Amino acid sequence: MLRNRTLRFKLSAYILTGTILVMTVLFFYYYSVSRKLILESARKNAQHLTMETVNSIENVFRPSAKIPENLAFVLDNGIFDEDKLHCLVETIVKKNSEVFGSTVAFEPGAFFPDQQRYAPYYFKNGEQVVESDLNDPAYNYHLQDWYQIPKELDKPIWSEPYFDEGGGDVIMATYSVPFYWPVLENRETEFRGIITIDISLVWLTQVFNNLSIYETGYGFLLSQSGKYLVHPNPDDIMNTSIFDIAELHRDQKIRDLGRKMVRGETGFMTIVDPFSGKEVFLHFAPFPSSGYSMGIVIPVDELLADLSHLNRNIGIIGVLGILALFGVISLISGRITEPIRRLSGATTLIGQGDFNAALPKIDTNDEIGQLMHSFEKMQIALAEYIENLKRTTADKEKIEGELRIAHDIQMSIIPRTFPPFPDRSDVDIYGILESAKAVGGDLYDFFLLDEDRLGAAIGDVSGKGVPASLFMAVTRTLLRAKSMNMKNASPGKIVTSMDIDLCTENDASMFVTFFYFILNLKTGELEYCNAGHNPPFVLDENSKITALDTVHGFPLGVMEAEPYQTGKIMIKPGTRIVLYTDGVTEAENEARELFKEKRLLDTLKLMKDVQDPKEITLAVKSAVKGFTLEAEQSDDLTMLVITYLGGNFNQE
Amino acid sequence: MELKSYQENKATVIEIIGSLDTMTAPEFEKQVTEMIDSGSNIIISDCNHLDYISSSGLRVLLMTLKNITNKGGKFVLFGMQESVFEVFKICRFDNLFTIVADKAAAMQSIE
Repeated sequence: MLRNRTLRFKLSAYILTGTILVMTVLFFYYYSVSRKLILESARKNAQHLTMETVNSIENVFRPSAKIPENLAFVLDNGIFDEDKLHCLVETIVKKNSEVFGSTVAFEPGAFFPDQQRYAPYYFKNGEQVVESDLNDPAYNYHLQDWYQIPKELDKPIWSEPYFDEGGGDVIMATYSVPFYWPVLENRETEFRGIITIDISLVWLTQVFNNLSIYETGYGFLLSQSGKYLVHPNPDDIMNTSIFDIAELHRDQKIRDLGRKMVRGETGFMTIVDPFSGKEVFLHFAPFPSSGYSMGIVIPVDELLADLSHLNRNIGIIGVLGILALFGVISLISGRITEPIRRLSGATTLIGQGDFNAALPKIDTNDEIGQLMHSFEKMQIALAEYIENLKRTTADKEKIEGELRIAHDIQMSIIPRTFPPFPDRSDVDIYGILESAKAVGGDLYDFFLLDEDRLGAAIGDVSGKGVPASLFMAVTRTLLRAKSMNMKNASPGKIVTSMDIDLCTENDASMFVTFFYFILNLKTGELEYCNAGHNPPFVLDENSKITALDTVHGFPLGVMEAEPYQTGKIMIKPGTRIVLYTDGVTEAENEARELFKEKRLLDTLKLMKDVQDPKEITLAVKSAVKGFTLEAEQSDDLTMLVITYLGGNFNQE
Repeated sequence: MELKSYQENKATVIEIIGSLDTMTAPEFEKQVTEMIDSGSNIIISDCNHLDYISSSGLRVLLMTLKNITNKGGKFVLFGMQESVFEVFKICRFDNLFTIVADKAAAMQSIE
């Protein structure tokens, strides 16, 4: 994916990815730890707040509870007269601001033996404290909860809060304490009645309202049965219990919470507040004296508001930081890769052939600088190399040009116009000389010594190239010179004379195999001399093929020895003499096989009835080419074919 | 072409392996000239593995022959294959060089 991107892009991508990864891990670690710490501290705060509230409320409940308990203690120990009892109860209501009303309710016949009910009741009516008697048969206080429950349980008890419609029009709760009179006969006590005080709970709401819990956090209070006594929603107060809410929202967690609170447990919970719909933390604790339970509700989002705020700031700083980092990386990688890009441009120019393209200047000694130095060296070496190559190529071209000229000169000294004697009908000649290199060492030649005699020669200088071609030129010049000077000399004499000249000062040990013959066109007499050359073939007028295989001595230039002899045969019109060099018989194919004399003979057999020397020559040539195919020509390919037609034909 | 040379008695034996032609003749000339210049003037050439010889090859052999002869030494060829010997025969070099059948004969010829 990144493969085709620039170095700058890759560098930025890798570093930024790494940085973002590290930052993300750090952020989440920091976030989870912070959140845990905040929740922990919130839990502690909530716990403190709950305990504080519980204590401050208990501080009110507990002294209030002492009043009837003290009175019970007094009543336990003696019998009061009616006036004293009335005075006592009135004083309790008068002196204690939190006490709304109080009564001492007796068992039947416990105060006046003949009286079924006796319960003097004093309560606040505005500023006044007024007396009332609960001795109403219809009310029958003996059957009321506030009387019966503590009597049965045999212990003081706070009543469920209730709304006092007749009296103060406020929420109240009643604290009922049983009292006993001693039965002297058996040292036991006997239940005599209940002492009550009525306490207004309005101040509770006030306490809860004063709680400051984040933005929308609040406290609430449940009665022993789970009824809401204090709650931000006024409609629910005294009307609804926490179990009603749980039922309404079908929320098991709230039901569990209600159970725990009613049971008097202390705890910490996370729930969805049915009133706000938000996730909240909730801490709850009971009031030991009354059995009420209170809860503190803290919305999570407010709890974590600071953290969220912090997160947002960190996020912004992170994004800005990464952008800045991107800028810096871009700048740095740009600066690092800039020379490389410039170098790339320069090398492209060099690649296109501009070896003098200026390389960018780098003065650092880092990897880039070293690379640049390497390139500089390479550029210089390349330029030198190309310069050398140009010079060498020029030199080579010059030499090749000169060799071409040498080749032309060499070719020009051998006769190449065919037919050579168009006005003569007694002889026809065709020859080829194809050099393996630009210049070769093979030669052939023919000329008329006089009206009736034809001289013809073929030769092969040892080696190839310029030395061989020079030796060949000397040989050919010598042949012409000797033949012209000694017109009537036999081939043996001419060849001997040439050998003497060629052996002189021949330090290079060069030599030339040479075959020379003189044909009398009138008589058909053929005199020849072979100095170490391949024996020519003679195809006579009857298509018979023979080799002229007498060899008279070493090649020319080897050493001065005995004079060369001359051989002599008579030929008839229609005879063809085939001269060739070893370029024909030793032509090599790709398998390194030689053409050999046998193949030459086979070709000549096919040509045994052909008179045209050109046809014979070309047939042999194409046979050789068909044999060597793609193989490089290893030696000069030279042939000379002379067809003797004879004077007689001319006359007919 | 490959040349292997070793000393046997007073002679330097050169084994010629492969072709002695235009391409390989200069290398032969160089190595043999060095031998002669360093004092070996009796050279026996083992031609058993000489597969082909061209006129260039003949020339360097001729030069070797002339060189050694001028220094009063001897140059003997042995074990020549038929095809190579044919080339020698064509230009009569069989009359010029001392060509024998095997090494024993060559050793005998230099005595």
